[in-house]
Amino acid sequence: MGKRDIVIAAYYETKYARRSGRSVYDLAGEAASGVLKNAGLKKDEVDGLAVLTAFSGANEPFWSVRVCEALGMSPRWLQMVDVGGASAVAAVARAAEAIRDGRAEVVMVLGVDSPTTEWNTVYKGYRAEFEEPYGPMGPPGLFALFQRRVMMELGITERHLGKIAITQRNHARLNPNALLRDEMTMESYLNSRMISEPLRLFDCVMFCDGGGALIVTTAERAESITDKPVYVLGWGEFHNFNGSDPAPDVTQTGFQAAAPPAFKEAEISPDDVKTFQPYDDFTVAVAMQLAECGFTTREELPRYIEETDFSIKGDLPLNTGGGQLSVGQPGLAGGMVNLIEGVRQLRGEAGERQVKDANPTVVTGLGVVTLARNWHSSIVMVLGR
Amino acid sequence: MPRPIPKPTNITKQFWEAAKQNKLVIQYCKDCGTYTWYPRPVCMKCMSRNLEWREVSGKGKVYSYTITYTAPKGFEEYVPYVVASIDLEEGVRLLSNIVDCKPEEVKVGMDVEVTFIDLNEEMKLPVFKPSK
Repeated sequence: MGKRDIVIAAYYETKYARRSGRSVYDLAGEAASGVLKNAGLKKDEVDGLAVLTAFSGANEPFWSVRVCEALGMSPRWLQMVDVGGASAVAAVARAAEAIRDGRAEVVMVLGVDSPTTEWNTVYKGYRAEFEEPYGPMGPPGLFALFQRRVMMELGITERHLGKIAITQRNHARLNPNALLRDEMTMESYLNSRMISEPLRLFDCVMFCDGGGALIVTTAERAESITDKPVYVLGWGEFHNFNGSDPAPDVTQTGFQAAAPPAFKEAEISPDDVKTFQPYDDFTVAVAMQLAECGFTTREELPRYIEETDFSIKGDLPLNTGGGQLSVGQPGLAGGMVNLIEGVRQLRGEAGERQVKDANPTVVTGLGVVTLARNWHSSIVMVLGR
Repeated sequence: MPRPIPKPTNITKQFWEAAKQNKLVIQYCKDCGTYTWYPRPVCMKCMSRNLEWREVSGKGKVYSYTITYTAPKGFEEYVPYVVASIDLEEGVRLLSNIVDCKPEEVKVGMDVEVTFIDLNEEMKLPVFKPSK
């Protein structure tokens, strides 16, 4: 496998909760303090901070500064990452770049949000004039447009999407921190109400409060922090795929541009991947990533979903902690759910849902639903031991 | 609660002024010949600022659609209603609504044409209905 110079050396994940009543700064304090403790680091040993954007806290010009100050940190490198759901994985990538360039040695990646307690977001740009007057039901409404084309063009059915939702729910039932743990069957999936047809309730994430933090550092520095280093083996990202096209094929996504460089840098192929932790705001996003990241082809996607065992004992364990679909989506820190689960599996700390061999694992992020297109940002990262 | 009312900017005001006259106008790049949607500061293809507003046919096809059962604030009274992406003959894709048609009769590929609904006394919103 590829370069082994950058390591995720520690992680911390908060409890997830609906309407926790907790300020986003309280969550930030818990995650930051928690990851320091898990890493055995003193605050002043952390010299870089990357903060994910947040629905509850970032609607002001100085979000990363406020967090940095509230935590009493004095880093020599500070970054806010605001590519929506791609932000968690992108923050690790930004941290790795800074560390390789000598701008920091020990970076804290911090992603927390409390959208079910305080919602402070105002959308700008085209949204107020060219989206909101038509009343799409937020991201589910726009994803429904995407889902219909995927179903039509690739032959994906509601049962394919149901299999993804059910598989992830089964994993969540082994995750004490998942909020949605009731049994889901194909019958209950198919009976879940339509939010924005063809997209059902069980195709959607549920917002919650929470998040987590990671320590990213050099392989050398990590030696004194952990005996379970998780290496950042490679990544690729792409933003505003087909952005010059006024009427693109929405079933072509940025993942087809983001995935190949990630696998190339890590010197592996999709066939080598032991667990896949794709960003999962909607079931159709997971289905599409299976093809667009190269686990199968567009033509073979329906059959691949039917024939592949995505369980923790299966061919390609998928969102082994339940993903955001069953854990909950802690707002714009949502990508931390998939990312931390990947790290946890690689460290062998996933308890009842631990897979036998998680090395290597792929995590992804996708961010920001766009106007009658698909999403803005796609990122793929290969992690390994 | 009423539907949200757009607040035009200096980039978008000509679009809304045309809509008030029941005209659909789209930015056209005089350098590369591309229509750009939504209204932008530059051509989305070549970044030229040599743009002009052109009245378009208002004819297009349904690229995709969704029937909204759970509505955002201001839209509860319209449920179920159709939000659709429409490909205009001129090659741009708009987000819009389909009206004058039962939700279950909407189909991908269906021919549609623009029509205008009143948002208030000052503003009209272009939406689409099945072509005659």
